[in-house]
Amino acid sequence: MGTAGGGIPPLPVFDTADLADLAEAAGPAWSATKALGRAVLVCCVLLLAAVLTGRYDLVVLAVPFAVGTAISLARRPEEVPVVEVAAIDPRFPEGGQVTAAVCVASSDRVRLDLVVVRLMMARWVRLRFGDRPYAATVARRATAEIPLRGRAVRWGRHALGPTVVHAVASDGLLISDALVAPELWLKVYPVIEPFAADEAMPRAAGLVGFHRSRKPGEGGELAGVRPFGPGDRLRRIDWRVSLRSRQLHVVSTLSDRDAEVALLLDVLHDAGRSGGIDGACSVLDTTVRAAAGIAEHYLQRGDRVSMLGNGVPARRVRAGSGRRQYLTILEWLMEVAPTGADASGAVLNPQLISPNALVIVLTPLLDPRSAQMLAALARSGRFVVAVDTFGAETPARGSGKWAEAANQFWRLERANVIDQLREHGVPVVAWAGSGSLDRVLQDVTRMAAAPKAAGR
Amino acid sequence: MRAIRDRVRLGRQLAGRWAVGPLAVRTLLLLAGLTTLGLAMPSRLLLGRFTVFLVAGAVVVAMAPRGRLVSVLLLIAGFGWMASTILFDDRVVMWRLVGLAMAMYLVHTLAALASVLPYDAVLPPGVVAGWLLRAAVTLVVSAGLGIFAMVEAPLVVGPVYLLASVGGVAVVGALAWVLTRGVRR
Repeated sequence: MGTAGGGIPPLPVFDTADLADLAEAAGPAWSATKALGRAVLVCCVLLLAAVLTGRYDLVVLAVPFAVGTAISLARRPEEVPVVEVAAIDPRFPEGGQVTAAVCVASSDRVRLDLVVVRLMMARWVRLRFGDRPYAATVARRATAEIPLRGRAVRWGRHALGPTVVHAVASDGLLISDALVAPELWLKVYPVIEPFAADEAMPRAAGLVGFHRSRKPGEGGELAGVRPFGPGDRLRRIDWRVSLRSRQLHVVSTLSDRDAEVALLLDVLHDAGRSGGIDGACSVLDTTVRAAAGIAEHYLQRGDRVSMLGNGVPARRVRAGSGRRQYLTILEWLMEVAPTGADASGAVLNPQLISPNALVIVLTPLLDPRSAQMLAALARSGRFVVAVDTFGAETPARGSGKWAEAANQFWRLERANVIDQLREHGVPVVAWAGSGSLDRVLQDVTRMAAAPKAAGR
Repeated sequence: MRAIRDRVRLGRQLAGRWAVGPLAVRTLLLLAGLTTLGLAMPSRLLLGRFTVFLVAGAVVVAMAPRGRLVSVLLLIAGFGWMASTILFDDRVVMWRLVGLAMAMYLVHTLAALASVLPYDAVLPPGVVAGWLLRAAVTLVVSAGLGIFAMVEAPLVVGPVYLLASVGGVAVVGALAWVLTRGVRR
């Protein structure tokens, strides 16, 4: 493609502002420190005084500055190092060890006398040396690794960085511009609170699965022995009973079915102060850890688990089973954050939840909208269990004269809401880890098996 | 009153963050500063009230190595040396002269290190050791050159004093240009 006139196109003309922009776009560079100016100043003043006064001894005082500056500038670097924050595996559970490193790579022919590394880090990442800057040297054409060891004490995604590095060369006479490395995101999975539940499941869905159903079918659970009938498989014949009774009998079993568990997280508010894995639990800590424990329990048993949040925007993990679903749920849980009090329309649409699913709602019942949501789910015919994540040790707010009385009134009102929910058929249990839902699940199963007085 | 309390609290926090490595560098800088002033100033002044000012100056330089006070201290040392040998009739002794030159350079290079090193930095010992080793090389070369200059200079200077002065000024200018050229791009 030629030019219109066929000649050489005119060269672009840059003014000084353009050149400054180009230099800035070229990236960080080296600049002189005050030490270089000091060395030149002292050396020149002493030499000038020596010349003017004819004193040789002043030359002797000036010689180290001249020699030192010359030797230092002979080792002047031309390229700035490259900085990166890396980790062997940025995924680990709460309380796990952070094994990351800041790598400063220099391709220059001279050694860097000093690199000063400063990095920002999230509140829940506790490194061995805290937020102190790190200093190191970088050999020529080599990479210096500054190890970062510590712990991540709370679930979530935590940033390690951004990292800012200044390199110093020529014995402190030259310093590089700030070299910035982007942050490294650590994925900290919640520690699973121990959870185990009875086999009882209100309404199994599929034809295969772990839970025994109340219907006879192909399964592993023994239901009884009955006379042989048309359609029975020969391998089901119980020969011992048949010989004794002189009539063919078969072993009948109950069918195995799977179930769907929908975990609904109330993330409108957080309460209490989280102390990480070693300290107190906030409401959100309890919610997330309990959800992880319940999901792991049911997924290990072969059930399908879905997860929903009632915040704005509503977040959801579709129902699934297996190890992959468990990891998906853990990733989803890491993003959980309180939506805030101004989430006006944060009432979940019950249509998002399968009609056969067992709905476990983890809620602190701090917002009237949470109780409305539970009531709406119960009205739509779902089997709902509310797990109260508002721990008894959650501190009361306020410190004024009437704070204690106000807190008592608030707790009474909350207890009233819980009683109303129970009256509407929504069992509310406080989260207590392993086995805390067994009794409630048995009640729900019994209610599901009972004949309905009227159609929904 | 509240502002004072806040400042005290902030000062305590800062004091609690001091790390051993940077503190050692500042201590070395303080010692080098005291040595510089001790060798440069007239010996008669060192025993009087003047000593307090000298110590205070060295401490301030060790506490604030990034400012211009380091240059001021070095120039005071240079002019103090001239004053002691001209006004107070102190003898120019080789060990004192070479010692002063070494101490002045140590002040300069340790201040350069302290100014880029955060006070709370995690510092491996190899960084300071390497820095001091390079300074030692410079000091050995400079001491050799200085002694040679002191021994040989009286033999060539005298009848050609004017010529040497003009040449010296030219050398100063050329040296300044060479040193500053290194950082221009």
